[in-house]
Order: sequence, then C-alpha cells, then structure tokens
Amino acid sequence: MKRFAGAASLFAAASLMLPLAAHALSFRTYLASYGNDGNPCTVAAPCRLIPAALAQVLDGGEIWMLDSANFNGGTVVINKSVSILAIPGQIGSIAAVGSVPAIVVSPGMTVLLRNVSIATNANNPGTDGIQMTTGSLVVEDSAFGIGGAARAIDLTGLGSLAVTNVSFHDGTQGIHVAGGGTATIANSTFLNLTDVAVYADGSVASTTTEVSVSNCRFGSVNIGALASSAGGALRLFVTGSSFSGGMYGIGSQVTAGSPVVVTTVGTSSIFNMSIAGMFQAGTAVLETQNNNLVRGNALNSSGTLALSGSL
Amino acid sequence: MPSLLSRIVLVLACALLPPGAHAQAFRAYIASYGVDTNPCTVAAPCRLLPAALAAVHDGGEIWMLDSANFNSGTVNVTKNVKILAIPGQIGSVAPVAANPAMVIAPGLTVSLRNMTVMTNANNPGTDGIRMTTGSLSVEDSVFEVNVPGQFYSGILVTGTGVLSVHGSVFRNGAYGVFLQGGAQADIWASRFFNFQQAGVYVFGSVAGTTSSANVRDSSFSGGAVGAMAEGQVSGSIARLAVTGCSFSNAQYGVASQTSVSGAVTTVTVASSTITYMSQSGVFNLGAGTSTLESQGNNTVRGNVFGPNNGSVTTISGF
Repeated sequence: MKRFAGAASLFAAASLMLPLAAHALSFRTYLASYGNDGNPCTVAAPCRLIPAALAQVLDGGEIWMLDSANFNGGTVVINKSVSILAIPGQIGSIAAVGSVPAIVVSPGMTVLLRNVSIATNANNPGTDGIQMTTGSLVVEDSAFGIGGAARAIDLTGLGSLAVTNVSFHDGTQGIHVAGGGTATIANSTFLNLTDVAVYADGSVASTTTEVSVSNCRFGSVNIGALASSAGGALRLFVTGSSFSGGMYGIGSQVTAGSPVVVTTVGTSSIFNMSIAGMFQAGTAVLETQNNNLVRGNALNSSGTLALSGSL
Repeated sequence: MPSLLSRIVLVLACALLPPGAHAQAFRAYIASYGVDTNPCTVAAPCRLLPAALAAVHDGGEIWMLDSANFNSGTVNVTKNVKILAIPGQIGSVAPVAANPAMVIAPGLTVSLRNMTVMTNANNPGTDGIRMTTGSLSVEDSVFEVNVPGQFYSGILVTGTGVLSVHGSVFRNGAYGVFLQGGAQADIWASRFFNFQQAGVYVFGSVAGTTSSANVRDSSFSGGAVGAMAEGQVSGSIARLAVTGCSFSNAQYGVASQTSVSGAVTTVTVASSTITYMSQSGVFNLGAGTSTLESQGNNTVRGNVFGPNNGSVTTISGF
C-alpha cells in the first residue's frame, strides 16, 4: 500500500509538470470577450484570443467565438486544419495590426472561416487580411475592410480558395490569386477598391491559375475582375455579376510573351465605367456570351472581343 | 525617477483631459444598456451613436451589440466609419423632429449594415440619410420614411456621391432612393414597396452633371413608378440601367422622361419582368432626348394600357 501511494504521488507530480501541449486537445475550443487565455477554452471556461484556442484544439477541430469582440493581438498563424467561426448572431473580429497580416494560413492546411470581420486597425494598421500558399481556405458570411496598399486575401500558390457571401470594402485589392491557385467567388461584394477587386495574376510561368466569379457586384473599384499575365496561363469566368462606377469592369490581357489567357463573361451588367466596360490587350482572349448589358460606359469595350456560345 | 510633484501634475493633467483627447479606439461599441460616459468598449459600451462617433478613430467601426434605437436627433457623421448591428440584431436610427436621421459630411466613406431607418411617428423627421459627396454603402437594412403629404427620401444624394445598396428594403413614402447633381448608385438585391413618386429616382436637375443608377436583381411593387430617370434642366444627364428586376402592381414599371429640351435621359432594361401595372409597363416621354432601351429579353405582360407608352428602342446583347 505504501508503495502504491508513492507511485500515485509520482504520477501526480509528473502530471503537474506536463507542458501545455501535452494536455489532451479538444475537438472544439471556445473564445469569448469574457474569456481568459489561462482557461481550458471550454464552453464553460473560454479563452480570450485565437492563438490560445488554436493551441488547445485538435487538428481538424473547430474554434467557436461565443460573442462579438476582437480575438487577436497580432498575426494569427493557422498551423492546423481548423474551422474558425462566430456562432450565429455574433461576429468575430480578427484585425490586421502592426504592419503584419491578420492571418497566415500555413501550407497544406484546410481552413474555414465564417462570420468573421477582418479589418485593419485604424490606430495601428496591418497589411493583408489573409495570406496563404497551398491547402484549402473557405470563407463564408464574412466582411473584409483592409485599407492601405494591401490585399484582403492573397493566394500565391497551388491552394484553393472558396468565397461565398463576403463583402470586401475599401482598400487596394480584394482577392489576388497567383502561382497556380484556384478560386471560386460567389455572391460577394467588392466596394471602393483603388486597384483590382479580383485579380487573376499570371506572373508565375508554367502555372495555370483559375478564377470563377458568379453573382458578385463590384462598385467603385478601378478594375472589377482582371486576368493579366506575363508568364502563366489564366482562366477567368465571370457570370451574373454587376459592375458599376469604376474605371474598367473586366479586363483580359497579356503583357509579355504569349501565355494562354482566356476570360469569359456571361449574363453580367457593366455600367458607368469611366474608361471601358471591358478591355482586351495582347494575345489574351475576352469572350462574351452576347447576353450582357454593357451600357453607359465611356467605351463599352476596348480591344477585340470574341463571341462564346452558350450550351 | 519623477518627483512626487511631477507625478501629481501628470495625474491632474490626465484627469483634466477632454474626452476628445483620449486615445480613440479602432472599434467603439454601443448597446441598449450602455452609458454615454463609458469608454464605448465591449465591456462598457456607450448608449448613442454620437458618443461612439466621438470615441472611434477615423476609419474605424461602431458595433451595435443589441437591438434598440441609437439616436435622439440627427446623427452627423464626420468620420470615415462603418456602423453595424451585429448579426441577429438590428440598430435603429430614426428621423425625428423635422430633421433627417443621418447627415454624412462631404467626402467621407461610410458603411451601414443591419440598420432600420424609420420615421418617428410621434414627432416625424424628414429624410432618412442625406449625403452630397463621398461614398455610402448600405447593406441588409430597412428604410421607412413616410410622412403623408411630404416628399422625403429614404436616401437622398445631392452631389457627386457614390451610393451602394445591397439586400435592403425601402417601404412607403415619396422616394426610396433619390439621386441628383452627379450622384451614382449601385442597387442590388433590394426591394421597394409602395412609393408615391418612385422607388429609385434619377433626377437630371443640375446642368453639366450626370446622375446614374445601376439596379439589378431587385423587386418593385405598389405605388406610382418603380424606377425612373427624369431630366428637368437643360444640360443635365440622367441614366438608369435595370437588369433582372421585377416590377408589379404599380402605375408604371420603368420610366424615362424629359420635360425640357437639352435634358438627356437614357434608361436601359434587360432580363426584367413588368406585370400588372394600372397604366403601362414602361413609359418614355420627352422631346427626343429621352430614350428607353430594351434588350428584347424582358417579360412585359398584363399591364392595363399595354407594354409601353412612348417609343422603345431595341438593342442587342453584348
């Protein structure tokens, strides 16, 4: 008996000395404005900031934000596959602050964000909203307000991005996709961007970057959707979308060499552009399905347009 | 090591700082249980919008944490700011006492989401939101600015401002959205009900300006006219593009009209449905400078006086 008691004491002491990472990780961890990072991130004892919740969640798990507040103090590095969401009726803020991005998704991760607001801290601005290279990112029902010379979402690699019902307000670029990435963007809004809202960038040779835009609206952005390449192949589809009040609605261009760049536009409206509704340059192809409304622009089109049949 | 005297002076100086000298927050919070002397934090929110506007940094955000009314008079927005009620809540800003609910100072970039802007029936105000220049985005909000016999608007833009409206509802009154003096609007997925004048009205009233609206995937019912461009001053241009919209049970669906020579209006309609009007589906009136274009893919049926009153120019798709 005495020997058993000694072993139990030894076990208890060993448990006390276990580092945090050796604790059992949770399928789901919780954050709240009233949380504390010394807590176990349970629903009864939530944590305060995302890094603490990430440390305690299993790979493939979830982080729930239980109320509306800001949940980061610097860049959030997501190094696990995880879903991060504010529960319905709440919104979770992740701010870009201190000249760094709000979120960096580590290569190969599968990440979902829902009901989040990713905005620059006006007191101490950050850079991009989200940076990623490979892996998968889904963003739903969220809002971006990234001011300054930054991108709301920057995908520079073979990763895949899906964006649904998200608003991108104010700043320079909305979504930038380069280096062989694929992006599907639906039911989203782009407003007041001083450069390109959706930018398919063929700057990396020997890659094919594909971007699909459907049922989106673009207001007061310099260029709504652009496929532009000096090296890599690009494919850009735009359907059911509305462009108004910018400089250009949709562009397809090759600036050097002869990469394959094809942009197709269907059932969209382009109105009141100060330079051109659509533009094509170099060897790029710009196809229209002959069912778009393109009116009231300084030029409705610039360059050569091709007709694309409907199936 | 500072002397005791210097520390006392520092403490007194801090205590005497006016509110405006406090560090301003990236985000300010208001709630029905807030107090305007609070710091407008999530733990200690303020009560009314003016207090939050004073506390927030230019370019910041104001979050309404629960559903309540958050003004007692006109809210003068003098900073770039996003104002929103969190999901599941709605924030009220009421036009009251013969004043508008909100006036946005020139040149600002402002966003509103999850708001209701409704006349205080006890002590009515005027317009919902007024702006001249700058940019305003409105999402998922409701406007009901209805004072019988008055010609107020849910949103009134009288300058080169840019308005974006998404997922919002405009009900009753004279005008839903009124644009003039070079204003531009992009209106998407919104609903307009029962306006005595027009749901969306683009008014050519200032020579040398072009006012315009791009309306898409929206519905209009009841009242006089759904969407209209009208020129009343020579040298003015009013443009309206309508795509994928539904108009029903009003007097007219879509209209283009000039009442003086030299005023130009152009209205283009595509992929839309116009039914059950008590007059005609569309009308085009003017001295040759009013144009109503159809892309030939609209459904215009069941209107008492036919599909059109005035000429319609058919254009091809693009």
